[in-house]
Amino acid sequence: MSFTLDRITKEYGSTVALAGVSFEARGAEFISIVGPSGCGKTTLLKIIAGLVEPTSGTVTFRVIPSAVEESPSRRGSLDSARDDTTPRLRTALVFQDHGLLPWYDVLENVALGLRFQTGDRAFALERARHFIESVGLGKFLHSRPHELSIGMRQRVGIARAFVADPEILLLDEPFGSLDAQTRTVLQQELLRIWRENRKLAVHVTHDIDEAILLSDRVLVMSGRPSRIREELAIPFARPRELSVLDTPEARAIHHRIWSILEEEVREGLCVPS
Amino acid sequence: MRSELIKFDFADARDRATAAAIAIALLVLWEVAARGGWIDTLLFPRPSHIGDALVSLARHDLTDNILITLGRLLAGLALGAIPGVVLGLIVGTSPRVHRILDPFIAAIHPLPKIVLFPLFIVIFGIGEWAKVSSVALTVFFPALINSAAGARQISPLYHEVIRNYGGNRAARFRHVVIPGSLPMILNGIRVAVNLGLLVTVAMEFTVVSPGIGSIIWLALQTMRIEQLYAGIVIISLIGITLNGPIQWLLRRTARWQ
Repeated sequence: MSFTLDRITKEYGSTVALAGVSFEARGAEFISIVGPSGCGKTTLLKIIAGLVEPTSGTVTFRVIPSAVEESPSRRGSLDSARDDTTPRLRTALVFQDHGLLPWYDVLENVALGLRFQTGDRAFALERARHFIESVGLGKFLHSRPHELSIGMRQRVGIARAFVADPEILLLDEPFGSLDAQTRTVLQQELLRIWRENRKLAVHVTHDIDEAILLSDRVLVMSGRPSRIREELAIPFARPRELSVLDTPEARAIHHRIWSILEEEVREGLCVPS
Repeated sequence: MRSELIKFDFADARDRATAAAIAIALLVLWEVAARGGWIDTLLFPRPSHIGDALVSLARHDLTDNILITLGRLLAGLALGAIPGVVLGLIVGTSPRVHRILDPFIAAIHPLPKIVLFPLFIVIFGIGEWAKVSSVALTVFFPALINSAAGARQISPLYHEVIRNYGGNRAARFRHVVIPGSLPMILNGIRVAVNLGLLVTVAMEFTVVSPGIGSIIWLALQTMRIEQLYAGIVIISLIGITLNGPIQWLLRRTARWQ
């Protein structure tokens, strides 16, 4: 699956949130979008997810023939028993604050997406249980979200998206509300799960190092009205360790991204440079 | 079994036993005061005499009367509270329906629906329909208003989650609106049951027909004060019995809140 955003704009009344955003995403790459807060990153993801209508511009999805797209690891644990006739979900968004239904337990929450697609609750629950156990949350199958720590809730939110197995994974600052240590551990876990279930992923963050660690490509957005200011390729081989962030190349990329962002943030706050 | 034993809360059980002891002590005090002639037994008959009146009522047609009162209440709830909940969930999820219906709700809701009882007698005659309609109209509003409030306070995020995973409107109702409003729906039903019981008994005071309300009214007219108290006890027991399961369900469903 690949998609193209063509001159997407979004206006709320007289406020221009997005002022013509265009980019293309293809294959099973991991893209991060960084930008100052309030620049419309979440809106952009929701437009790709079809949850918000753009004011103008188009999102075009194209199916790439599976033989070309799918790396061997795509046929991983989640896909092996899947009925190929059921249409796959095009996109699944991992919400900023997990979006777990508070009246359902972990198992029901994780099964939700797959259940809607297949219409088969038992199948979805079985698959969800398997996945939850594989990420070490087996003890919490029947816990309600309010009984879990924030970090665990976010893991459950991510598990729900992977179990639904969409063509495109959209991540809206999934680690934004976590402390630095929890965040680092969950970034590693996300990388691992994504490696085992490779798919196109678009991730929004304001954490530059997180973007470098996770991505093949980083798009830097300007403040409102927002556009894409720059695109950087992240050349490091996978699987990646946290230590790649300490390499001179990574520091240089970090510096480049920050120099753009700093300008935008200063402008947004009216702090002269 | 083991976990049940561990969950048993001794402090809770002790406080409940204390409450029961206080209630029994008050009854004993009343009995003693009545026997000693310290209170007017014409107004405050001995609890044991009220018990006798209950037994004598039970020997006659108490069960039939309870069933008649309960039947009116439950028929009114079925005709009023169920449509109230359904319409409330629609009002709570559709701002458009809310804007259209709100003036009607605002106009009719404050009216004590019992004042329409005479009108219903004119329309339906003095039979059961006039009574059931009054109960239905009374319980319709608390069911509607609480369900609507319950559906409205659900975060739009949860609707978005369902859409995100390809769920349609029916899925949003089933997985978000109904479970998310359930505590408020049950709250509305609890209010509806209590108001419905009130209206049922009030109507039984005014129209001569079987029912617990009539037993109380008849006792007043024949100055059988023990029987009047017995009627009050029966109504309280009905109220407690109906509220119990609702409270239990409320505690279960509201656990995530």
